Amino acid sequence: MRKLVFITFLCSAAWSADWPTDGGNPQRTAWQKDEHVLNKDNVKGLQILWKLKFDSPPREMHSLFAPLILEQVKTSGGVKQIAIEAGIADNLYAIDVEAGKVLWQKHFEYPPVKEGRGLRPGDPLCPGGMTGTPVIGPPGANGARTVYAMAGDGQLHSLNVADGEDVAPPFKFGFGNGKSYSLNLVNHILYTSTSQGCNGNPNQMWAVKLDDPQHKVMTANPKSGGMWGRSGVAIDSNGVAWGPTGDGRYEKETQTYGNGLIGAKVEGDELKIVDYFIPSNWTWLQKRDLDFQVTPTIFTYKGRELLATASKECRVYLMDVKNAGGDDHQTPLDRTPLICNEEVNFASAGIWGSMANWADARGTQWVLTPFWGPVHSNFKVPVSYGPVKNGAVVAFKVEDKGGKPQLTPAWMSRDMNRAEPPVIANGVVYSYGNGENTEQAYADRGLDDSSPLRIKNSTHAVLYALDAETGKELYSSGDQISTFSHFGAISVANGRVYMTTFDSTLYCFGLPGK
Amino acid sequence: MRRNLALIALTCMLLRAADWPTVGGSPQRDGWAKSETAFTKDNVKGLELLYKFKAGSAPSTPMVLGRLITYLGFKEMLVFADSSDSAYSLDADLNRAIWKAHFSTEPVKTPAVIPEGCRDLMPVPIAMAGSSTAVVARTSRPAPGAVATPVRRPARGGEFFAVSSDGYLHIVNPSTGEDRAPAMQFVPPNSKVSALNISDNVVYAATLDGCGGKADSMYALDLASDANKVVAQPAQGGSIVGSEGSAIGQDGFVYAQARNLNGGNDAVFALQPKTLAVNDYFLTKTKITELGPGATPVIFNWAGSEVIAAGGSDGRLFLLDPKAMKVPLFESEPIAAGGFHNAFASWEDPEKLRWLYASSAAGVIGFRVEDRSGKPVLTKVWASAALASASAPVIANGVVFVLASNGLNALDASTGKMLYNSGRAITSPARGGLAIANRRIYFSTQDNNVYCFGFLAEQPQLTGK
Repeated sequence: MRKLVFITFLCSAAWSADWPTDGGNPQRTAWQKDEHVLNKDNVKGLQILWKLKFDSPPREMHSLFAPLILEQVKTSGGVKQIAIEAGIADNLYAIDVEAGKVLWQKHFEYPPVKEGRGLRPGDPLCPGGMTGTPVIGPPGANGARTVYAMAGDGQLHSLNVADGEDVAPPFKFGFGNGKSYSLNLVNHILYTSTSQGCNGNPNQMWAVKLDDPQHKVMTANPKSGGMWGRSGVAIDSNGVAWGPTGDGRYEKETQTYGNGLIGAKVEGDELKIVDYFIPSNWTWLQKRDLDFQVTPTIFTYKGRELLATASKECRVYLMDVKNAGGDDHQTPLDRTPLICNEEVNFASAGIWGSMANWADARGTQWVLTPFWGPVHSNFKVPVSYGPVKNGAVVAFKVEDKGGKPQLTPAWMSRDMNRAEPPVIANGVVYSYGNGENTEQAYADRGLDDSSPLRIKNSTHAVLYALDAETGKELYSSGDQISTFSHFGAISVANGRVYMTTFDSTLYCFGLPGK
Repeated sequence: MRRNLALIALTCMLLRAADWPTVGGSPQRDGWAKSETAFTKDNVKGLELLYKFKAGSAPSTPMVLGRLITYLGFKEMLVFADSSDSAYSLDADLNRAIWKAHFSTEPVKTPAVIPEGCRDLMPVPIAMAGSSTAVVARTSRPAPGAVATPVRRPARGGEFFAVSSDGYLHIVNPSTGEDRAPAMQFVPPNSKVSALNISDNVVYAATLDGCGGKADSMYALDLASDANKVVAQPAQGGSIVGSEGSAIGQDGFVYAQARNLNGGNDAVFALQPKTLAVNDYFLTKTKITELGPGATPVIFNWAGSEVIAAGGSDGRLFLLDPKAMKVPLFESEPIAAGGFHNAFASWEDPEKLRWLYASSAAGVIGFRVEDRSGKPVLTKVWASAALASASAPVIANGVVFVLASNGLNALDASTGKMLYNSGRAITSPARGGLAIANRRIYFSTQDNNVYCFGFLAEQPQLTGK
């Protein structure tokens, strides 16, 4: 009997899963490979195991970001599974996920940000504060894990996950109130991106070597309207960080790469743009404000490292990271037809946020994208689940056609009210309709992107679990979630599904007793 | 290299969205698409039909609002009215209806006998405030929660103005097509309104041919006043001519041409803003009994001052000083039998030479405005090949565009050489005038279509490439 318990423990340890960064890994696959508790059969039994409401007020529409999960953290109270939750009000929390209780919390204090031109109250684009999901580094020599978090003043803090203590002095990495996006970390190099000129920031990709005593900040600037991929940049196996460039124009002569994608790599003590992709219709994207702004997802397919990304126009692009746009930088491996946004709207339609990919047991490679608004009337998908008016998740299979990898539509989910980036775990896709009011312009007065108005008109998020091979709905949280979720994300690890909402609440779903 | 240059040019264009807010492109009626660079003497031969849109009844000359952020997204709008009191807004990029509005009109008593010139009245082109020479680069976002544009003080691009057959003026929300305020009686019912013109929050209209049982007049409605008071100024016993109603100078004075005054004289009146009181006028010496259609005057800058060009019924051209109109700065010999048609166009070429283009029964004539002892004079440079029923010309980047019975034509602005004709691409005679904005050319035809020409290679949204 004792032996059986020991074996069970070993299996449990072997199955342990982390979620140390937004999107699960530097490639932003959003694929939890190590989930073994939740599956297609039992996920229908999901319940809210606990929820924690933090004293971390939202700013504009932002509140809490993607939870980070470490399965085994040695603390003074024993080994614990810890979730790290960041709030825009410069708060960081560590939660014992078994107990659903806060282990430690930290508030980053700093004097009012003086750099920049200031923020406009009511502007949902530029909330100020800590906007980037932190990232947890690999185990140190002593096995300790460090969480890196950038406060609203641009200072990067390095804290021990176990107790929240500083493990290194903070240093300046970003632009105060400059709206940095999710941090990413590979080979001791930390990355982020900034957008929308918040507080007068430069819209660019940022990197710093954590082991550089000087902490020289390296940047790559595509001269665009902002690198606002929700999950920041995705990093390939060669250390090239890929980020969408948002609104802007393309001008090769001046290295202006708006409405496209740049790949930048640290060489020496510089972050250099080493490749880029510009869609052939970038002028159209610019004219209609259909920004190329979705964090790519990277994977290996038949020996080639590929990435998929998208824009508000509502197409998915497939590229080879070794030569993203071909010789002219404008020829992807594949470009899907329009999936949505027939109205050609800059808000409430199109693909937003980030993407996901996974490979099933048969080796089939899948790429998933969320989208907002009605499905395009010309988009053909073999499997779907009723009319889609508000958004959905679409899954593509990566298949060879004519010697090139192509994206073949496989299924489209049920309607979701503004579908958000999915996560795949053990054959189940998790996504949610964020319930957010996404209107930015009105019939009577045109453009009026106002946080108070959008908050007032938002509803509530709904978590869904779908069969990853068919898109069939396996679970819906219905009305259990109280408020909407703006720029949140799902994390999955060890039988638990986490997501956050505007009312500063972290939800933990799971199977009771599991 | 050529591709790169083209790319840079395209990029520069995209940074700005041009409007074609009113007939003739501007309150001055200069017919100059100043910011348009897509069309050149070299490439215009490759013009293609991009699309056409079928209206419910006879469509007016279309107008273009280059960029409007609506609740449906960023839109370039093509707007026009039809003869059934409907207004249309199309997504000009996609040839897709954004809205169609129908103006509910007051019942209009139809007279037992309708004069010849008052049958099958054409709809009044929808108008906006602004000018084709003013480009818009609205990239910044207003402060969240900013107060909406007040209805009574329309900003540029803030509203469309339309006149229904009952003579009511409609201030239309460009996002939805709905009236933003109760419609106001502006001109008599069943009037034949050539065109609206807008300056400093005042809407002007010219009525023609005595339709609606009223004498030809200029009308003004001050939108900044709460009184909704309409001011009218009859054409002193004559009839107002030209397809574009009136021209408005930079000082807000309104210029309209009338013919057949005092039994055969032509006159150009200068009317005070808002009140339409006659401030000055020019009267031709010659009495003409065989009257041609006449043309709306044009105002342009020459040597730092505004100059008015107008045409007499006897085919003479006049250049007038708006500040002293009685004696013309220049008077030509008769050069166009039957006088001039519709309206003029004028531009300043890259060498700073000022040009004037006029339509006549024979076609289009190109003139250079030259200095003679400090005064402007007109020198005829070219006459086009024969073009019947020539519309008001429009000039863009060295190319003169004109509609005629043979379709859409493009002429070299310096020589008059025919560079392009639409041939069989148009299946019905054109009607009304041209609009040019943002790499596209628009006009209406008698089979109730609105046509759009341009280069397909520059329209990825239409080709899917």
